[in-house]
Amino acid sequence: MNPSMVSVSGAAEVISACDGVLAQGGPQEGLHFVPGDVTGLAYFLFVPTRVLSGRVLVSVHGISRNAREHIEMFKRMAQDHGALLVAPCFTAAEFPGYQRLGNKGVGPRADLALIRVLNDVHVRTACDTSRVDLFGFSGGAQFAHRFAFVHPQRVRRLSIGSAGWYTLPDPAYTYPYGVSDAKGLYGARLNLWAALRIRVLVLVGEQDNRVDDEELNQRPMVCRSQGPHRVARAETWVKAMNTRALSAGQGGRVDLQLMPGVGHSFSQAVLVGQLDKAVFAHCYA
Amino acid sequence: MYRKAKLQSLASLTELTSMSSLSADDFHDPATATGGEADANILPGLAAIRRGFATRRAHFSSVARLTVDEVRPQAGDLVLAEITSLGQHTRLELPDGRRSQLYVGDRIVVTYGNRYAPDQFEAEVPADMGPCHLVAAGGIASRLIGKHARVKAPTRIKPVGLLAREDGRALNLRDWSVEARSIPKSLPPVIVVTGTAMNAGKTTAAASLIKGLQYAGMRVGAAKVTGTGAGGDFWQMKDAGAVEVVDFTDAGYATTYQVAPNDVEKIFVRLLSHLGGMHLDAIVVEVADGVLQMETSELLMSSAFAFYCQRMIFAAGDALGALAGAQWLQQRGLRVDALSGAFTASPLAVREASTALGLPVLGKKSLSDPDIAVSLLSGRL
Repeated sequence: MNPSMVSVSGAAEVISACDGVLAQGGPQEGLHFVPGDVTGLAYFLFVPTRVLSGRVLVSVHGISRNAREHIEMFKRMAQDHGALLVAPCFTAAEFPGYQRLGNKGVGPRADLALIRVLNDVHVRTACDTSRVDLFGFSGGAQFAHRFAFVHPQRVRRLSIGSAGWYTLPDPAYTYPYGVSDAKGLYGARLNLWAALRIRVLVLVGEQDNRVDDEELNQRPMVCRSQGPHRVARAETWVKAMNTRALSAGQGGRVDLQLMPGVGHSFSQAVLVGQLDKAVFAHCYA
Repeated sequence: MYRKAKLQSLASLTELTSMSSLSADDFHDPATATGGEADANILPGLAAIRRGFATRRAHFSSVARLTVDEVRPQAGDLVLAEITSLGQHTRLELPDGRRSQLYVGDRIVVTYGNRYAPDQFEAEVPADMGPCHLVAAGGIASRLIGKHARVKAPTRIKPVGLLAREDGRALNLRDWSVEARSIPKSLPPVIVVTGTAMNAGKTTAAASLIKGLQYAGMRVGAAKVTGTGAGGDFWQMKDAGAVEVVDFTDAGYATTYQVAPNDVEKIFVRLLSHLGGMHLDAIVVEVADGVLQMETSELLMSSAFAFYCQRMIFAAGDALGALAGAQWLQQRGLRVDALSGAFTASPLAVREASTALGLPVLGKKSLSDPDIAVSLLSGRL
């Protein structure tokens, strides 16, 4: 028995923090839960039957903190592509401000915690986690695109689903509204120009256009600069990113995909809007 | 002319028999007096001789003789020596921190010790009392093995004799080490600063953290566990607000190079036990040199270190050094809580390191911020 990794199916399969790679008896296929005793951030790890691509998709939950559901919804596609899935668990107690990476001392730095998880996955599986595919839904989408701004070199493809609001690629606004002055991140710099080179897919349900959503950021500054609801805000951000990329001579790399018949629900986005297929198609295009 | 004439008379001291007494004329030189303790029993004139910072705990009241011939010096032995030529070190750091100018012919009291300094000298305690070198400004006598290409040759010294008691036993720094106590169960949190190498920014990080914790209203103690006896780091931590600063010289060692691993671990425990009785809120410990340095490596792997170290800051000169060092520690089961060091002056290097390791990077300003310092202490960063 190994105390730091638990097979979630119930059988007590465990591996220690330092135990090694897949080929050396590391985590076998299936779903595992890795407590945060080493990295400071617990996570679910899904290992496919055959690790074909060696690639890793990180899926970040929203404020419902449904990390396991993310694994369940993505594992069929992960199995088909032979990709590992990682779903970090940003608990409300430990990471209250994870959507903004723990800005201004609101909990620890969530982006750094995810990097430690990626390094831990590499130690456990030998899969290359120096660059990963990154997806986030709702609050997780906020986290994901901000992570890409701060750590673009660790993101291969970025997919963001139904973010409530965005950090605009605009140096005129301070972080988290724009990309200038990230004092709240202890001096971290947002690397806009490298982030603009990442291929991004933005997904949002066509019905995710309610303006009276209690979970939606209703600050006048956000409504004024990004729009009244998630669809409008996604359109604003995609346009802003592509415009900024063009002005940098890089060409637009951000696509928007609306999901018909889908509101603000992760499971609905997968089951009705086929978000899982869209994300993997984007990652492996 | 007076000085020169006196030197000639003193030169004959090395030719004396193995037990020798000095005359007042040999030592009395008010121009070089340190203001050290005056004691009627002291070897005549010794109090007026300047001595290095590393000897600061020694009380000259117990000095009665010099031993000269057929003596094999040991690390920590106190030696009266004469400057024969000036090199890299042209000043001697005194116990009060003043860096006193040296001249050829000056006599000083220093201590034998092995020296490990990648940016300066490697040197070891010679097997005899023949000419050797001043290899650290804090007053370390040793014989050069090798030096960094960019530093001058070391200042040369000629030992006159070991300071000894009446019975002839050489006096050693161990005679004045802090008392060994048991470590209290209520030992305050211990934060360790280690790094890639000499001049990686460890002491700056330690001092900044001390300042941050002091700003938060805490009583902070500091210790430098390994290294070479010198005041630079000591005073920096003192100036930052540490209510008590101790180093390995307080445990009786002039330096820790080539000290047995078990003894380095004992130094760590002894210094912690001393600080543990001082009603502190936090203890900041600096481990000298890089993790590849033998004594440092052994200490980091020791059971005492694993037991008492609660937080660790790793200081590096560049981002890749931070990555390699932190991974080296993590591979050995040691958790790094934050990165710091000279590379934090470069925003680009900060970005590279944090993205590679997922660790907070804290420069001087961040560490001296009370909120950040307390968050680091409590593991909430």
